[in-house]
Amino acid sequence: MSSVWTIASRELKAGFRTPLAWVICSGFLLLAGFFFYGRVQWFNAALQQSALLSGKAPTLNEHVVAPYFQTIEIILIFLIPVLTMRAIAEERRSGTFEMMITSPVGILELVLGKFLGIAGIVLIMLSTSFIFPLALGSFAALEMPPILVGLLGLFLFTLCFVSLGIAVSACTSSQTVAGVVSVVLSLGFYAINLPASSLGGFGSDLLDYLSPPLHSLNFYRGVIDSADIVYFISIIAVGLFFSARVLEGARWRQ
Amino acid sequence: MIKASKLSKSFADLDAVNGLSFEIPENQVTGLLGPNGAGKTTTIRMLTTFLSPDSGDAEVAGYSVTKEADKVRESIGYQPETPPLYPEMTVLEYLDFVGKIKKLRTGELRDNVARVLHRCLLEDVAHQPCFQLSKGYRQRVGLAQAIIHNPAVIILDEPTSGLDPSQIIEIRALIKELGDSHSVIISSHNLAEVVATCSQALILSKGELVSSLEVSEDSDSSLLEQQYLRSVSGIDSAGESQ
Repeated sequence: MSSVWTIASRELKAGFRTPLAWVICSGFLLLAGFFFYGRVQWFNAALQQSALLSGKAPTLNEHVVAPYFQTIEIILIFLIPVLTMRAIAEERRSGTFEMMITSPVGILELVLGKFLGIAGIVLIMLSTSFIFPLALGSFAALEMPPILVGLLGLFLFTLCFVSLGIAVSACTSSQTVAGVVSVVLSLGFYAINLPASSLGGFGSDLLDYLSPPLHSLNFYRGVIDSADIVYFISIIAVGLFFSARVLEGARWRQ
Repeated sequence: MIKASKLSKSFADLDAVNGLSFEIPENQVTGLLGPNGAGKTTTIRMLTTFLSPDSGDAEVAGYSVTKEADKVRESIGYQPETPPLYPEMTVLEYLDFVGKIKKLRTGELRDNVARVLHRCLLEDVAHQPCFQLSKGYRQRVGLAQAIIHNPAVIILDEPTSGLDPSQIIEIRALIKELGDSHSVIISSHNLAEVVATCSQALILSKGELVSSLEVSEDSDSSLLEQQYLRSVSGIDSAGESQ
């Protein structure tokens, strides 16, 4: 298993030695900051309105931070494929894949190493976005524990799409194809429960269960449900297992 | 050291390698020689476990490529035709990385990295990122990663492809030197290269072994050329059909 950490460490360093991770992190922070500011503006307006109408006052956790995480999900759907598209496809194009799988490294070790390396980049990216709630919390009443739970949920949510992106990258040697297909599949997966209401019955329940944003929502409310954790870990495992099977199958097809 | 028995591999309608059998002894440089499309790279990829044969088997360092692929991977050093480099890493970092994935222990790793840097004449560029290296240096780094764990069998696919004459001479000398203590197999479509580096040439054509020749630097090159042409296309060097 030491090879997993060796590969993960190289993947993480490679991300930050090239402009890729810096550009993605900067773009992500810019967009996240923009949308966070928008939510705070909306909150101020809603607060004034509730004061005028003497209604229930909105809370920062419920009306700023939770929707902020939900907006970030959409941004990540588009950014994660940019990180994952090169994972295996680039190794195949440059010939390092040939060196790796003729070394005493198992294919599952290679896939896990790639996954953990990109997970490291994602963790850094999401941690930096914590600066916005932190800044707000310095002068407003904000409960931090639910926000940390929300970050955990967002991290697990993102890892599902990292796993999906790596699986797509394992299927092709073209980064562009991997990127485009990953975005399309990620959007489809994100909105998988869209037709649920028209289906009804078991079909509806199944699509709702498979929908990632319905599982991350509990985290954003500050609730850790083991069923949601099992769901995310299962989706990640399926993606990684599929990637390993595709690469193993390549020994016969190439 | 390497024993192939009726190896076959097809891609769609193309029989890339068809019932190939040969034996390669220990501590010798052997060349897989043949024109483009003869099946050299496919053969090498099966010997390195990169590809699984459709039928047949091969023993590499005493292990079956179909049943003991993990053991084979521990016993070989492989340089694909394009040196497998990570451009952002320095030569030293890259060799350290390859040593780790080839399961070298920490002390052993440090010694082996120093040894291959010296042996492949890479000390001057050890701290340079791989993307800054010339083609000759890239080939040397590719060779260094193949021998870093001191494998019993070294497999090199077109090791001098795209190099200038002085670089070709350097790499050939290194391959000959490696042949003193390892079983080395190289693929080439260049007869002069095989003559300069190998003691045995296995001539492939259309996925089949058509001839096996003993060669040395003293061999009569025109005679070898005739034998080669006769083997691969049934004509002699003067262009007359046999």
